[in-house]
Amino acid sequence: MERLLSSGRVLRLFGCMFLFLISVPVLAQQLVSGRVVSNGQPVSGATVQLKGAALSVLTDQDGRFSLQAPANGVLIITHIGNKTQELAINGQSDLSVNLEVDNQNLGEVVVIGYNSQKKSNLTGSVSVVKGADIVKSPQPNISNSLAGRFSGLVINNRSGEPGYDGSSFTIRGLATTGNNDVLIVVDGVPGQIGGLERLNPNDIESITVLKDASAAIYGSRAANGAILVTTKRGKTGKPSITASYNQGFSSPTRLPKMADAATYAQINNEIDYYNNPGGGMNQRYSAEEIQLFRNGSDPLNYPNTDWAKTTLQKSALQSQTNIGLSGGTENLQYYVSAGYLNQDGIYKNGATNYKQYSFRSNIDAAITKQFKVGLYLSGRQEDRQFPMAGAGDIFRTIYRAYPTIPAVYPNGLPSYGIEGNNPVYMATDIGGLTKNPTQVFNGILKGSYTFESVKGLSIDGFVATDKSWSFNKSFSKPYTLYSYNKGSDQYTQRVVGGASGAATLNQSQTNQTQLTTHIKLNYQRSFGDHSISTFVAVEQSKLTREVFGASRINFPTTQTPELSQGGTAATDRDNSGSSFAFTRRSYIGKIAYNFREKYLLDVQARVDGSSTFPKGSQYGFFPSVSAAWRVAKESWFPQSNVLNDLKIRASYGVLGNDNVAQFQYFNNYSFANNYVAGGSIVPGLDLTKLANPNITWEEAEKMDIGIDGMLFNSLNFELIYFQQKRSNILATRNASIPFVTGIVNPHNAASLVPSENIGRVNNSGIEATIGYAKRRGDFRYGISTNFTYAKNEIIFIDEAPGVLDYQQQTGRPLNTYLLYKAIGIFRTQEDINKVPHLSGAQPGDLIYADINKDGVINADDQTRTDYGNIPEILYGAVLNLGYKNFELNMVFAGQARVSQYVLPEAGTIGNFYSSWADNRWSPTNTNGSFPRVDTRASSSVNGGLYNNSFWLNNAAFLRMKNIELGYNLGGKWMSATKIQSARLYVNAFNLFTITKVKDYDPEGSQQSGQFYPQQRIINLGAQISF
Amino acid sequence: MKFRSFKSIALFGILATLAGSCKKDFLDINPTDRLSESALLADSTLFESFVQNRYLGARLQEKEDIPGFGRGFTWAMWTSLTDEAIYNNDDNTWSIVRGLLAPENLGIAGTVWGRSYRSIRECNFALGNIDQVTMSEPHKNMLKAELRFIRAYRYFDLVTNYGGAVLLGDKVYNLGDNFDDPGVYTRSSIQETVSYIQSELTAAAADLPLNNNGTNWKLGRATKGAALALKARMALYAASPLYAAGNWADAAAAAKAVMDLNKYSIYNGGYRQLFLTPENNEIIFQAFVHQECFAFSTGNCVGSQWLWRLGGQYTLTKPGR
Repeated sequence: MERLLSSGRVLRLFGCMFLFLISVPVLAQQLVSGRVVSNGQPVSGATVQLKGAALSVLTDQDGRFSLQAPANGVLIITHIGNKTQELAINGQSDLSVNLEVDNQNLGEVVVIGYNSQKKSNLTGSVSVVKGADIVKSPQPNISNSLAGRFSGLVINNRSGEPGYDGSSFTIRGLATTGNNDVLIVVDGVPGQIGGLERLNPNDIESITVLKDASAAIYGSRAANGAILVTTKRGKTGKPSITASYNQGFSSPTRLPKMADAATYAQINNEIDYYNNPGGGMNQRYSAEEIQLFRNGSDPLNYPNTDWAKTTLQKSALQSQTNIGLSGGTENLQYYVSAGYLNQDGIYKNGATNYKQYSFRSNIDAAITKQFKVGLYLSGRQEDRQFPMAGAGDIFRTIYRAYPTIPAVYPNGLPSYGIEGNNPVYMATDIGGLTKNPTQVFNGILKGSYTFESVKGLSIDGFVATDKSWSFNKSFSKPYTLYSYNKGSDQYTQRVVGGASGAATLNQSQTNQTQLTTHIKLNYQRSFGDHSISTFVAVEQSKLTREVFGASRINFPTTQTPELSQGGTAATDRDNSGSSFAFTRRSYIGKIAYNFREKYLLDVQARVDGSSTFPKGSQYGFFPSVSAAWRVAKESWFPQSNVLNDLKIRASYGVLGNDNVAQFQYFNNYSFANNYVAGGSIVPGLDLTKLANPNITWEEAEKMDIGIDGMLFNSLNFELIYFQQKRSNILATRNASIPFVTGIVNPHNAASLVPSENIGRVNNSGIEATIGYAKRRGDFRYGISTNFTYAKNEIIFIDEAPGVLDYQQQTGRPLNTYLLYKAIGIFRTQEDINKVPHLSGAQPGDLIYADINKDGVINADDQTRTDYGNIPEILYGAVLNLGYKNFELNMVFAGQARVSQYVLPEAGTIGNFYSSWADNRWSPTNTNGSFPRVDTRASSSVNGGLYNNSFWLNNAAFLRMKNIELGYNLGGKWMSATKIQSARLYVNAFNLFTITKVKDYDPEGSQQSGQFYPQQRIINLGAQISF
Repeated sequence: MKFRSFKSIALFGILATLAGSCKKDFLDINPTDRLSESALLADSTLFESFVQNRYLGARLQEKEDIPGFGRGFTWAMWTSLTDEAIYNNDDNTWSIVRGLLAPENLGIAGTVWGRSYRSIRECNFALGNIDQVTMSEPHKNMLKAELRFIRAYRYFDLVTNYGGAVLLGDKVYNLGDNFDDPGVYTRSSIQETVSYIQSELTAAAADLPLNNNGTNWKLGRATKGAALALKARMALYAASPLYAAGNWADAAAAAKAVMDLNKYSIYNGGYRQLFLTPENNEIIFQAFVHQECFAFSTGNCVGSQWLWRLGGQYTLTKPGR
């Protein structure tokens, strides 16, 4: 039958990809019917497909099906939660099928580095997420769909801004003072341009996470672990079209409640009183004025502005449309898809928008039985658009702007806001737009050949080309705000935006290209009880980047946002350019051996060459070994209903990290054209990097011990202990090089001191996963919980000699804070007199602990906090419930042992969180739980002048990351249509959060709390397959 | 079938060629945005570009522009370090007010020492390698004198800020040297520092040209007068009771040496015009700020700045800030 889908036909299919349904020619057919059961219960919704044909039907509620099929045909019956079964019809017309329950997916094949492995035979710590699970999250950024799903991933979503809403993640927490980025491998291409976040979730088949030395197959790039993404492939069968539409509504998970105008006016009075106690309590506002703020009777002079409410809408829209076509014959399979995503910002009349258009075409073809090729093409357009003001600035202004001034005057004129920033207008396009369209293309041509002459020998390879083009155009326009003078009853115009009252334009283009070639020789064979799978491979890649930029200022008009239309003076123009290239070459080998799948041994090695390092030491060697013992396969292993399966495994390996600046092995001189002589700027050269001729890899020594097993036929578990030692961490020696040597690093530029292999960090912890799945009649349920504890310790960093031992970072985790310890609030003068205090301490001030007991509060009383803002404990739970056609899926994610410092920018320079304003110590509220207010929190003795633990929050939380309620349409009526399946669902992201953090989202990391908030998304969707 | 498998093998051959298009130097990347030391020393134009940038200092703090000598233009005023004022934007002043000065945190005051020694090291490198550069002997001597002038100016900044400095001579420290050696830190007396500066300036003055020109010694580069004037300023300070490292007669003689060049006189075109006329007889040594440097708010293009000048009591400020 495959001949019927000839290549011409396939071409036609592509020509009208989604509009074309092919009909199935009927040969000598008969009506075959049957019933599918599992554990004695009928299975509804199982797919019954005629092998090699395009025809398939679903079973009804009684598990029954019927279809036309040839008498010698073979049926394939698939159903989630059961093992797939094939059944020859053999001329029968009434068939009975008993599906085996597939509790553990033991037969499941997992993609690992450069090949795949049966899940049961894995020797390393590997987690897998299915694409089908990822699409259950309405969040289109894939990095946000991983939280809570498996152990070992430390992940936080720091911002919800469309286009920049991804999560930052590490595997097993921080392990280096250097770069902690995880290597992303897409369809076998390490570090594919475009990365993980913006892949279309609907195109994902699976995501594999290599957490231990199993990642050593990626050598010098794998020290931080590796995430392998596999996209969908076509399957032999009739063409199937799947279309889905999602309409989402996003809103901030939380926004701080700010003080109202009356409270803020009162606070201003208090600040003036503290600065000048003789002046009394009403130096700025009289009691009558505060009353006016409260009753709202004079909105011009005594408004009560809620800036967040004025600037932000209740919810923003997002939509996702996807369509995919897949199918194929035995010789040719195809998966093609297209997707569209549109996300709006949360601002009223806002300019922020993210649109993404994507396509993918994955085609596999067997030219002969031995020779197979695959062509995988994908591309997308990422259209980002923002107002000229960054999201951080807009939210900073929302929280700073005084509630005592209006956003818009009653006559409709825009107010001057705070320091010329009015967030209501900053968020719109009135001040111009930044447009940043980026195109990404990824193409992979794969080939494989199986030798007939030597059984088990094959060769495969690929050429992958990645391209990205990122264009940026920022046109900043001046616009007018007004300030009202009560005395003269005048509105004064004030022009903001642009530069010097004229528009400015910045344009840039960044192009990237990566070419990766890979060739691999495989040998895979079993000899009796012995199975061996081995390969050797060569891989090389070259990454190049070209950047070009130009700008103009002093535009005569805002009507002509083009480079050629700007100011005419020579000084009105500027341009820039740079380029960059990076090459790698690697030799890779692996031997996997097992004896009856009982004793398993994997040995991997990689020799990695990188252009980052000097000639002669460009290559590094990264070996790993892992072994597993499937105890349950031993003949002596007791057959019982208690412990059904048991595997013990361990791995050890050396991995590398080469993610550092290039060309550090020779003295670098760069142009810095700044000196003016003879009336013009003359070319100038600076020494920008000293040589470290001995520069080499950062090394990670990873050790892992794990136990996998199953209890009571339904409870599977996994326990892992891991430890890794990072050494040779590339860090710059700053503190211990005296300035007198002249080796002095510049500020805000590449360090003069080269990276040296000096740092050492240890990281260790445990992971645990327990899962349970059961099916009772129509009712299916499963739960999988995971737990990760990862603690790191700095063994060596370059600290200045003489740092007090309790202030040293050495011996403590990365990213801790150095703070004074706030142990209370002085309620009265007597309180102050009792303990060591800062000179000039007043009632209402924080009490700082005299850590070194010397009777004075000074810099020596700062201590290191226990935790930084990367959690040491992560946990999650995935729940699946099903009843007949209903499905309910939930993902919970939580973290603990984590701290976040947030000191709001409050005072006379910004508004206060209500939590502070309403609970502040004041002469009339001496029991307040917050310290007295001050001119600037950042320069207050209770704030930035003595950064202290009062502002350190326990950022632990438990959050419902994801929930989806779905209904699978089914029944007899559908069998009569061409519809294979149809599904309606409602899902949500970040639905609720339990945390002690009051004012901001606990996943935030901005130390003033000024960031685009994380989003809660509620989404309705439908999916239909033909 | 045989033919087909041959075809496949051929295809793989192509793949293999691609993968193994094994250029031996595949991993050797030549940077396009920087130069190596050998390139610098092989080209006299590049070398002179390196020398000219020594009039500039490294930017060492957030809120300061690329400085010339001394402290450069920090956004915070140094009064913020005293009882007179507190700067509400911090900018590295609070840590000093708070008494948090520590080896790893020198606040706004931490710049002169590091900036000066960084420049001294760079001058020493250039002086140590200039003989490898192919250029005319007279011009080479002028560059040597220019480097010694800049180096002396750096020591002048050190001695006026800290007193006796660590005199390095022509030493260029490198990573891997023993920085624990007490010799690295041994400070000379004020007297020794002053003498060194003066002898260096004397030597520099001997080889520096009397006048700038529009070709190979543009306005903005040191002249004989600049070296002698700096020497006079050093002698003046040295004679003061604070330094106690000289006498007034020597100071007067040093100043006289500048006057005897018969090149400088009081500008009579009006006080305002003094600052708007780039070439006038009152200016002994001047640094320029180009308007291009302020057209774009990129913050990476600033002219040389210097704090020491003829009158000594005016602070040069930049337009637009």
